[in-house]
Amino acid sequence: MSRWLAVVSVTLALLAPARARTRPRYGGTLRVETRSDPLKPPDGIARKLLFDTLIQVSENGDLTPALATSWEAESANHRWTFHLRPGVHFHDGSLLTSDAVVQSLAMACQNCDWRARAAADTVIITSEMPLPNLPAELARSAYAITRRDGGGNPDGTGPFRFTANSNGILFLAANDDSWQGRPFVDAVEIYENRPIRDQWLDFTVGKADLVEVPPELLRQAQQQHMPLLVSSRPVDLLALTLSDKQIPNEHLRESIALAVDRAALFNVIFQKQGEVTGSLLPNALSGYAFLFPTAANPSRSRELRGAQSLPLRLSVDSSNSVLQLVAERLALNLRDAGWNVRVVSQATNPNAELGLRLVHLEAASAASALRETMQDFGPAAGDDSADPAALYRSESMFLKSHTVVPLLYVPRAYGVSARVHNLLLAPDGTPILANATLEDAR
Amino acid sequence: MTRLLLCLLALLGMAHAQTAWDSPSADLAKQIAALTGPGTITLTITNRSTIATDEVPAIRKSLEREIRAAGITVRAKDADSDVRVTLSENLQGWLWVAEIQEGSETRVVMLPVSGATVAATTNSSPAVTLRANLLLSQKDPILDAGLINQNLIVLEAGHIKSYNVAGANWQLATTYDISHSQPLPRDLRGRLIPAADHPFDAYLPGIVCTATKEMTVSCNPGDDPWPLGSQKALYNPNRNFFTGVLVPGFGPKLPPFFSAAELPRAGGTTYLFADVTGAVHIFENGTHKLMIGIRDWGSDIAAVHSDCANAALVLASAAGWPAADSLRAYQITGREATPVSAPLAFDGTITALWPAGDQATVVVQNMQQSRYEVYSVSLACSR
Amino acid sequence: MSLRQRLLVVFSLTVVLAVAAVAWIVSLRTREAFTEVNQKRTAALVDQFRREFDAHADNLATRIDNLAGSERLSRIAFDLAQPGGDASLYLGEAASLARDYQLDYLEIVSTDGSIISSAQAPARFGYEEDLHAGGSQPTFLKKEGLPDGRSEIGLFALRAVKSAQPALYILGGKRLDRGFLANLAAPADAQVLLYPVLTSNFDPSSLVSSSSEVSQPDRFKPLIEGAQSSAQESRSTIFLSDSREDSVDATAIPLKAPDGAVLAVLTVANSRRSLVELQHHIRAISYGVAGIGILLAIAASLWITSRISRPVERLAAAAKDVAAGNWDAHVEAASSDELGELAHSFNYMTQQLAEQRERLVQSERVAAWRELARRLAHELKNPLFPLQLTVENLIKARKLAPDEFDEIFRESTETLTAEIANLKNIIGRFSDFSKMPKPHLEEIDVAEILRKVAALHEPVIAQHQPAVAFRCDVPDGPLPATADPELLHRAISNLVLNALDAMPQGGTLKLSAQARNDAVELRVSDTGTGMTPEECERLFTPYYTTKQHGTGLGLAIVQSIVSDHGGTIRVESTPGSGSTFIVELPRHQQSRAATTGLGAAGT
Repeated sequence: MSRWLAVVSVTLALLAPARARTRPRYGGTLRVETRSDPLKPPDGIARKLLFDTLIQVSENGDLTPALATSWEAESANHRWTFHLRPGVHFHDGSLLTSDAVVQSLAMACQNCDWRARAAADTVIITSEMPLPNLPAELARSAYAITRRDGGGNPDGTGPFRFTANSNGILFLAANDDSWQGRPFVDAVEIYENRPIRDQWLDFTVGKADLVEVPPELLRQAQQQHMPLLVSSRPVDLLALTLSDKQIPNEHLRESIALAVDRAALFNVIFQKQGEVTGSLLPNALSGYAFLFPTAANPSRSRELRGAQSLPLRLSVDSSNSVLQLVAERLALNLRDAGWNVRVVSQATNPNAELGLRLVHLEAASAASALRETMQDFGPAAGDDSADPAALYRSESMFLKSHTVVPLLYVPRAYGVSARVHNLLLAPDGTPILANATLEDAR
Repeated sequence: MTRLLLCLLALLGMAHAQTAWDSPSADLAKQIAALTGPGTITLTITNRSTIATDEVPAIRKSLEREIRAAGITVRAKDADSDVRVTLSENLQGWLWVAEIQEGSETRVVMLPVSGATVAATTNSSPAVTLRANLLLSQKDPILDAGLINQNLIVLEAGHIKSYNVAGANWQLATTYDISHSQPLPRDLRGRLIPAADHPFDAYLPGIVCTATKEMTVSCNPGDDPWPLGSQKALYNPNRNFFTGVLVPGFGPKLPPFFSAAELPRAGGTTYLFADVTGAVHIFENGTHKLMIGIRDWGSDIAAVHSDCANAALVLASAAGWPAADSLRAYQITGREATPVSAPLAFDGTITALWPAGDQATVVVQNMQQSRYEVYSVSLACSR
Repeated sequence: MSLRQRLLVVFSLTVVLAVAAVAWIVSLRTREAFTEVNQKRTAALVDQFRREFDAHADNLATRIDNLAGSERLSRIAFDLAQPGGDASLYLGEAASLARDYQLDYLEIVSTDGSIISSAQAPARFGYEEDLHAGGSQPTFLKKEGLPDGRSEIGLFALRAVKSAQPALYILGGKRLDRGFLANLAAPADAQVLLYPVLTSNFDPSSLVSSSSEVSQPDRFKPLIEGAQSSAQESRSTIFLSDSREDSVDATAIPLKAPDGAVLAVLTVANSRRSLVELQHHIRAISYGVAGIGILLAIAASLWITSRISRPVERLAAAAKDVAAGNWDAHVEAASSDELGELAHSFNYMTQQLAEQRERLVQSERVAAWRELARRLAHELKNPLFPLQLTVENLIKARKLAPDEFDEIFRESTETLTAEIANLKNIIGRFSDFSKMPKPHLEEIDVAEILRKVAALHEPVIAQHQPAVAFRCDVPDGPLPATADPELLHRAISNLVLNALDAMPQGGTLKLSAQARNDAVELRVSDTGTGMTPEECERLFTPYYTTKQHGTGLGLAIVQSIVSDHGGTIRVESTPGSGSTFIVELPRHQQSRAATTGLGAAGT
């Protein structure tokens, strides 16, 4: 925890002298650049601007009302009732109705084990299984209330509304009728699919207000005195997944897990950003992550491997150069332990024995984050208790099978131009652009 | 009366802090003892939290005492079990973790320990010292607060809450809902004004609330101007600033502004307006000038009378964002602002600064703890 | 085969053989000369590539030197030498420097040999790099393992970074690949191939070329493996396809690591296409020239042979004319050479022959007239003498008694009448010969004619003294033939009488006939005195006779009749043992009969 506080304080020290603060001003256009598709579910940067969820997660992980003002469970969590906020309108002016919410939830959740139905100004969700964590689940951006307007464009209740998407630029305008209040900037322009190099160039010449700073470049950005916003806690988990179908022997999986040298990844590739983890959750969230060992043990790894030299494929998103580098480093680690590993592209080898995955952690509470993460890695029955000891037990059980080897937690960071004020990151590391203001606005 | 209450609260807080470690230590010791049973242990303590390092010996002492009380002997080495206690931390607060190793088996117990208390620190200053007294800390945003009729009245976006003193704490007495049909602006501001014939009026963008003597609050949509000293100012119901229209006004046309300070002077009232562009306008003796020496100023200013300076000083928020903001007192001479106090630092952003007699009400958004804190800031003479 | 054809063949063969020999020699010499030129060219190319390779190595060394002296690396070295210097900051440095300095490989290595940054294998940071792989050479070859498990061969240089305290080494290099080859200046028709030795067996897909895809990598296998195993330069001509143009003169140069291991084989392949095409061109020209030469030679031969053979042919034709009886044949003597002389002689000869024949005819005609006169005188003299005696008796008798005179007169007139009849008979015979009638042909039975002749002459022969035996040997069946029965009867009768005359001492006369193919053969044989061959030759000449009396016209008449029937007559005779006359008559002589008939109708 002290580490990320240090990061934040470095960031703040950089930020503080750069600007004079005033109360938020209205107006101006915020120019944002991103490597990815801003509308891509679940965590595209524009989704949080266009859409709202029924429930929000506060800074400390609490669930707070959003489109739903209140909710209650009945029948031992088999039935939930969500009361919709009155007077909320979609961007096209139509009223937010329970029907629209049900429709959106049905779209987002085609394989869910629950069913939503509309009843007056409430949405009722029922399930065969008890759903103690449904509100936390619905707070995930995957369940944002969305729809398409007559022109097929995304329509929501969020602080910004869609105006155009052309030439790789997504144009959003302030929603004057936002139920959370009109955002301060008049418009946001999101430049899609911009490589980091181009983003930084645009940032340097003042053409971009918010650019991405991948964790491995964070230290470089600091050295270049780029004004930075860093997520207060690492939000992206880098993990090695092991297929228990293709490597059924638990000892062999443990051998692979023990061959991994996290320190090299942390110290060199990620430039000491984030934290080494043996746990699915960052220590700042759970408080117990340090209990999971992280040190490599090549001799034990070799011992466990025995005479086995099964050829392994390690699949990685080859379009991400850093992940590729990490995969290659892991392959070296495994080769040193006597494994025969080949790094392959995830796109062409979906069934590789090993996989390197970067998982975004959206939830802000340890319990929901753990459940979310375990679900990301496969079906896992988690303990619904918020008690740290219970969570620890649950996670220990999960990790004991060595189908997932957590490697590192890395933060999200953005370069922010001096004209941007009041910009903060949500707990999951996404910038809250609706609260940002521009210095040179009227 | 108010000050007395505040002192009482502070004392209670300190007492709590002194005994803070005993209770969790006892709980953890109990959990450890339940696993080990009577016997011998070694005990190592590692601090991975924001607990100050010099607190650790105290914790260790407390923990050892409680463990011994449970019938376990703590040794330096060669014990039945090795107990490693890590003082960790998560979002909800501290998390004390004990790992009990017996042979190759390790068992873990955990104890969440409720969060830290934060006190605003006061810095000494050359002429005037600013003192901040914490009135209330809560998760929901606070727009304004004030001690009215021995009650702490807190104005929030959707409610007006009334607290009574209950021992060392404030206890919520009544909540009045403020209903509104239009969405409220994002940078929401509100004003709580004690009235002569009834307890208070509350102003929100587009809404005016009035409390009766019987403490019933009624809110209605309305664009009534907000009282700003001797003047009243129209507030833009969809934004976060005053429109610049004053009632009754004093002559010149004003730009939209965030805040104003009214300094009674011998030759007439001097008005300061912090406009939405960051400039501060001064109207003095019928002249209009832009202030200088205000580079560190934020958008919120308020005039507070100082006995030491025997004049009205201007309190101004600083350009500290987002995690550390400060308040500083300035003396206005001509168009120049001269700091007369050291900055009073807060662990967060000042979201509201309103004059309240010879004090000022300051609302701070503490980002790290995601809480809103309301302080009453007063001026004291430096020695 | 005519003289002309023989001459033509001999001339043509001579010319063709001569031209072919010349073409073969030219082609052989050309090929040798070109091969020599090509080998020299290949050697020059190999030398050029060696120089180019060395120049590239020098260039690489210079670049690495510059890099080692660069401010950027000096600063990094300085930073790392400071207490707490953090090498991880420079993880991406090698990749960026490699881009700037256009290197394929670059590793920044600390003094303890651990990699700080690697452009080619970024994940290998912290691993050990062998700083002594290059020995003391400024540049060296090294096999470099890549993250994906492949290996490559590169040209490397190791340098210490120039700074106050050497804290860093850089190991930079260029990949030996197509791009490297492409930078070596190669003439258009030369190809440079590189084979990195990455596997123990020859892997055709590893062979890369400077310009395009290697079409038949397998064909280079023996050469490359040879150079690889011997670690010596080796040469060979490689045929890339069945076409001779698709071949190269290849020289394989082994590229070695400092420890002597062959890491790659550089092959300079000089295309033989232009050479082979030139050879083909020259061959085509020689074939063309030879062909035209042969045609011209044949044309010349035709002309020459015609000039030589035409007079000879004319002579041959003239000789044939002469042989055919045309004694007037004449040959043009166009030239004055031996052939002209030959023509003159030939003309002279024919002229002489014609004159001689003319003289011979004249003399024979005179001889015939003399013979005729002699025979006529002889024939006439015999009756004239009794006539003269009788007349003289009469004259003398007049003086005698009338009785006596009458007696004598009557006897004398009888004698005179008889002799005058005899004279008339003689004159009639001569007249008959002169007016021999044309035969009137009809279908007859020859046997019947023979039997008639036998019946006519049998009584006469039976009275002949001394006795002559007569045998008629005629088949019982008919012997049909087309002939004039009267003339045939007369001819056979003549022959029978002739045979009887040939046997004054008696003997046997045999008459026979038989069918023989399309003819009927008649034989009349005697056992008389026989004839000499000379007599046989002149036997059928008119007025020739071997008898003391006779006109010599009998056999001439027989021959005339037989000849008019399209038949032949010949005699087989031996002096002292008799003669046999053999007549062959054709059985059918339709055409002859027709013409004869027409002729008869016309008379």
